[in-house]
Amino acid sequence: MKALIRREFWEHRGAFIKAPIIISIVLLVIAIVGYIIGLVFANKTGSAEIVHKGINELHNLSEKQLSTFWDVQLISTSTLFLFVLFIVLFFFILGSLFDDRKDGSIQFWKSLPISDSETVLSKLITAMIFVPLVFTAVFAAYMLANMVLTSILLMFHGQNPWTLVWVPASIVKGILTMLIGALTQMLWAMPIYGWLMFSSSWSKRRPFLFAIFIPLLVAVSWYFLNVVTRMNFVQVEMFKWPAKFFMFSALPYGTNAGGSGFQINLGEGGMSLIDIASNLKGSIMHMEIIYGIIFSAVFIALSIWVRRYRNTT
Amino acid sequence: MTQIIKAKNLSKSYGKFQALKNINLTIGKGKIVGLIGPNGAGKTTLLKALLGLTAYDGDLEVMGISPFQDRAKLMEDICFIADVAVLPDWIKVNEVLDFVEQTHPKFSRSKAEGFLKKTKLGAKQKVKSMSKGMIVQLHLAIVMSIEAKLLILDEPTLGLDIIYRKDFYDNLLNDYFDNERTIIITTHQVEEIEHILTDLLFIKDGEIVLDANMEELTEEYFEVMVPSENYEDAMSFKPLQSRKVFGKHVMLFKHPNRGELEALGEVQRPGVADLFVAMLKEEDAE
Repeated sequence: MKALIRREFWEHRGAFIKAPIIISIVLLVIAIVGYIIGLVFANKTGSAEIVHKGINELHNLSEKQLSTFWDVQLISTSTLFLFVLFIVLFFFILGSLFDDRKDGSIQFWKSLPISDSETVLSKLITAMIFVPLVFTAVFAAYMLANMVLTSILLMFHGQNPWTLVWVPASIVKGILTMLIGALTQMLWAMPIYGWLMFSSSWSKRRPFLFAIFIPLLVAVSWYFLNVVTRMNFVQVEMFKWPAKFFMFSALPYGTNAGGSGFQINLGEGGMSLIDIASNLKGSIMHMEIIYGIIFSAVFIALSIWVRRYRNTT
Repeated sequence: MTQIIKAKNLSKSYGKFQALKNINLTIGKGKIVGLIGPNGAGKTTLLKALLGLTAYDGDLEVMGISPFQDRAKLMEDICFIADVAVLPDWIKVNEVLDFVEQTHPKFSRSKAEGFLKKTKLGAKQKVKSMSKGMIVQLHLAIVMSIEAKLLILDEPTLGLDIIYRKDFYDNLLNDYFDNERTIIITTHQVEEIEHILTDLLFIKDGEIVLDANMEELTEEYFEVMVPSENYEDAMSFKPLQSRKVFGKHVMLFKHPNRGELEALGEVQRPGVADLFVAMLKEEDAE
């Protein structure tokens, strides 16, 4: 199993490892460029004095306010990471049981003493556990780099980075938040992963079109069936469900949009670790997740079956 | 266990098309079997059945294992090189070695590295950057480093230039084959392998039309180089095939009167390709 998971990382080094690193670098570069432009602009307009004053005022902010500032940054950047993670996994799973059939290398994989269940499950575990962990690790490194960068800039202006950065911001909190986001995402995305896996295994030529159009076709047929049989023009459940799972998978912190989900309490003092823990509970205590997992299990089992008995060359 | 493969009434249909028709077959240990047949005769289907890649009707046992039920287990003892270069193009040499080392209990990495030293392949080289010949070299190095009991080669040298092709079979024979192993080869370039085969299987329209030992076969069938003056005499023995080479008639016989024919010209061992063509004609005539 270890070898199979390593194999996925060899094949998808770019998407699994380079993608989060690139996001980090882009975010840092934007921060630096933004700072420089801001400074140049301030000098030109003669407002450098005001900027300087503003920076000097920073240490008058309370620890709670600073904490809130860093938490907002934490939530917004980890949202970006999780969004990209979802896209990466979407396309990874969609290709996972298709690409090797396309290039014929399935014949090599099948010539080794590895069962098809192991193969399929290794891909699923890679997507559900290992890639999110890599993204989390890179996110932690990004946070650290961002804090160091901010400290350096603050020291230019004669500020004390300890009170402004290192006390209010916490990498541990960052890692925890990111992990919770990834876990929430994974649970909500289970039915999507299961369906993509099945599309990848089943489809003979275009897994992407298969994965998108079959559910769309079902939903549209359902809609018109309701229109015709019950004159019900507002029956949109079949669109709402996939959309909901999609939204929460792509933006797991948005889970509270449906009600009792992720509450980001950015009032005084930012998020405490208890907030984070209760958010976890709120995000995953949904019946829909249970249905999603059952749906997913069925389609993963089907993917294995197709891989085993139909996809031989 | 001396019988590696046992097939009884092995059949396979794709819809209405019957790719394999009631094949009965045993292959023993220590054989190098050439599976020869025209395109669409069922060669690949038969190999797929042996590898557990396709369902079939009838009984099939490969080393006591039913291939389709127990494919993953069977693969510990079978190696397979297919007609197309099937190594994934993103993988590097050291990665594929790592992978096989960790997934195949009978793989010896040091052996594989030894074979690779003789080639120009570097550890960091990606399959994508290799020529077809190099990919086959890599694949062969891996396969030869696995203590497998059965090696199945499906057109292994297709698309390779002559130097690689010759090396391929030389390596196989010198560094790999011993009496504990069995090799099954399909190829269109029969003349390249006929000197290494111990057994021949001709397959046509999903049926085995010949299952013979090479030695017995070349006893039974023989070619005579008949000079022009003996042409009429020789023709009276009804050759299966006759062609003209350098003013002499090369005639293929399946005949009990070998002694009489030896008087008419020099006797030689027939090529498998000629045998194959003659036998197919014989079949059609019947």
